[in-house]
Amino acid sequence: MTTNFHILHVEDDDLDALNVQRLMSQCGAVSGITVAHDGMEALEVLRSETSDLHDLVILLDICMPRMSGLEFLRALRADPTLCHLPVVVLSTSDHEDDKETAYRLNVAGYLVKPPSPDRFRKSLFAFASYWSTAELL
Amino acid sequence: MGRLASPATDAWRQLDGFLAIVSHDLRSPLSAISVGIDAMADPAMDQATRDRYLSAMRRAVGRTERFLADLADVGRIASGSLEIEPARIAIAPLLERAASQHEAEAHETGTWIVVEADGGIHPLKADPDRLLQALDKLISNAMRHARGSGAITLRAENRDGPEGDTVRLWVIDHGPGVAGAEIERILHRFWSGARERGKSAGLGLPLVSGIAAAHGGAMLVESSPGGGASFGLELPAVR
Repeated sequence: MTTNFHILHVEDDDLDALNVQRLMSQCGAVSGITVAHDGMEALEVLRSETSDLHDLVILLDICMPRMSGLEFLRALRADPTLCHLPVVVLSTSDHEDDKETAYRLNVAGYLVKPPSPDRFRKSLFAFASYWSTAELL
Repeated sequence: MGRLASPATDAWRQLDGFLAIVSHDLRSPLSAISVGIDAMADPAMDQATRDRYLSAMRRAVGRTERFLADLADVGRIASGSLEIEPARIAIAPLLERAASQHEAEAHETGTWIVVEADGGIHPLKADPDRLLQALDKLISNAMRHARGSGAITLRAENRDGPEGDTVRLWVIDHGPGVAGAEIERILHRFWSGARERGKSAGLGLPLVSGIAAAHGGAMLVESSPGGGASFGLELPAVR
């Protein structure tokens, strides 16, 4: 199992953020969580000087104001200092178009809300392993 | 046979798209509330977390109720049956009231509301509740899209002309702005039942546009990417 990782949760809905925060508190591999309310705020967080990009996983909603999740993904992948960051989508959208676009932008996983707590934890742990492997390459 | 089936097929496709939008926008808060209820059933949850959950769930229920009310009103607009109860109203108190309804939301979104309306603004003969409903949509939109971008200005201005005097009510933000083509898409998205990736149903602007039209006026938009956005209503004045 990998070392602890930090989550940047990009989510505009405070109840969804609270639900995820609670699920993650029961997940041993998560050391902390930062919430950004839309893609633009998430980019500001990631580009701030104090941001620690090591051991970071981005959990991303799709439907958000100002900058949607897909717009954020495009901006992230176009930024040479951020393009390597792992992203898991957590969205109410189960549209094939959204999934296809997200996977083309190299997301590691796509979860549809609400994921069962068990599936959510398993996915996070699986993703932690993915991140750890990526570090070794 | 095929030609006869075509219009009905188009109508069903449009209805299907519309229902997909509505079900998506209802499923999101309901699923979050469902998970929240399960979480609150845990007797070990501390009181502070319980309070945060209650506040968040109340807001989610409120948003869902507003969505359903908006949906009903948009249906009335589409069928031409939106009820308007006109009364003579002064503008400055109306804008002050609209601003006061958003004080808490402004604080949460890193914005504040400035009202610019003096006593010289022409009065309107309009339904105050409907105008407040339209302003509510525009202010909420501005706060979501211009989060952390400072002042949101509610401005009233007279426009006197040979074809009649009007009053313009603006909601002006300093957010990222929006391109003209995008605005057209936002309005078209709902009426056509077409879904745009990463976006919600967007009932707000069709509702504002319908309320303006029901008063013999129009919705106004001035915006450019990076330059903030100004959305408003132009309504016939009473002299």
